[in-house]
Amino acid sequence: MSAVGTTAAPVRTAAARAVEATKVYGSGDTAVVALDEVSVEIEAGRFTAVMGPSGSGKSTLMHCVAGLDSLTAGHVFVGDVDLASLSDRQLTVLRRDRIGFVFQAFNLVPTLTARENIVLPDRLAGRRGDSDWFDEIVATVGLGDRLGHRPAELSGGQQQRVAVARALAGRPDIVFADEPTGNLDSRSGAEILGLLRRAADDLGQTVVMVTHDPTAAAVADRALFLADGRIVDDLDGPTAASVLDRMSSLGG
Amino acid sequence: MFTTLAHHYHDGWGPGPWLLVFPLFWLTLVGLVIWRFRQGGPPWRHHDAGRSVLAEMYARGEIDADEYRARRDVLSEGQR
Repeated sequence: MSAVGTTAAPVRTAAARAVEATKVYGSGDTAVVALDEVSVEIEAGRFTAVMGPSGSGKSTLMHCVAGLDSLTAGHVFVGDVDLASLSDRQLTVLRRDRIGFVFQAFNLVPTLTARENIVLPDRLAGRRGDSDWFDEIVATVGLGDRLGHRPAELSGGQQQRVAVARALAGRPDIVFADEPTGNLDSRSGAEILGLLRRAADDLGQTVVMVTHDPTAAAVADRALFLADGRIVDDLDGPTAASVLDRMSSLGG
Repeated sequence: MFTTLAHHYHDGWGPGPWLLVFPLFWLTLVGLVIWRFRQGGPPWRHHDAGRSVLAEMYARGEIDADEYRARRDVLSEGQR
């Protein structure tokens, strides 16, 4: 279990971890090192923010841990499963069963209602959704009377709430949120952050959020800072001020 | 009496060879339906299956909005 060469014993169990994860795009003179031997544990049940200037490798890290992209060297584990050991088909099943996604652009299917979008992953996986869980999620994200609406009939904030509900519906091990507030005004953004916060607090959901917004990162339990493909800082209990301070020292 | 009955039969009033045709017809039809389902679902579902896979890939971020729309349009063109 503890194959990682870390000194301190982890206090919490890891929902996912990267071990000397390296990702290189291109080859030869044009090679770009997006991730440079990154080792990190994502603790279960906590809300982790991943920050860094553009090109720092924060999105690459998220994509590799979520199984959307493969590493050049090193390993990524989701639970105890080494993603490199999986076939494409197995990877798809893992993403479907154990990972939830929230994107900047919402990624809702325009022809389906809010309700249909939320239950879509369960339906496609051939699972019969748990209706109590569905009700709890819908109550949490506060969508009650909007369930029959299509995405085009909803505001950006409401669409993102549908996307959060969809990510939570399958009870994934980890929810990855990629700049979830990037397309929203500050009030809707704050609502979405509050939702992710409650998912961690009330539902025990592990959440990993990539963001460049210090106020967004301040909502998290922990903030990881990346620069040039390496983790350069790791803040426990970040505040907007402490995050801003680290960011300015990174020149982000 | 007997002659009348035989006469009746041979004139084509009875089931005659047609008796075999109806079960054959139904057997063939059932066979065809089973074969079609084994080919990957009924024909009217093919279009939906493509869309579902696409929707799932989009929901999981494997394709972005532009790619989703482009591929969906291709699917709808195929339907016309």
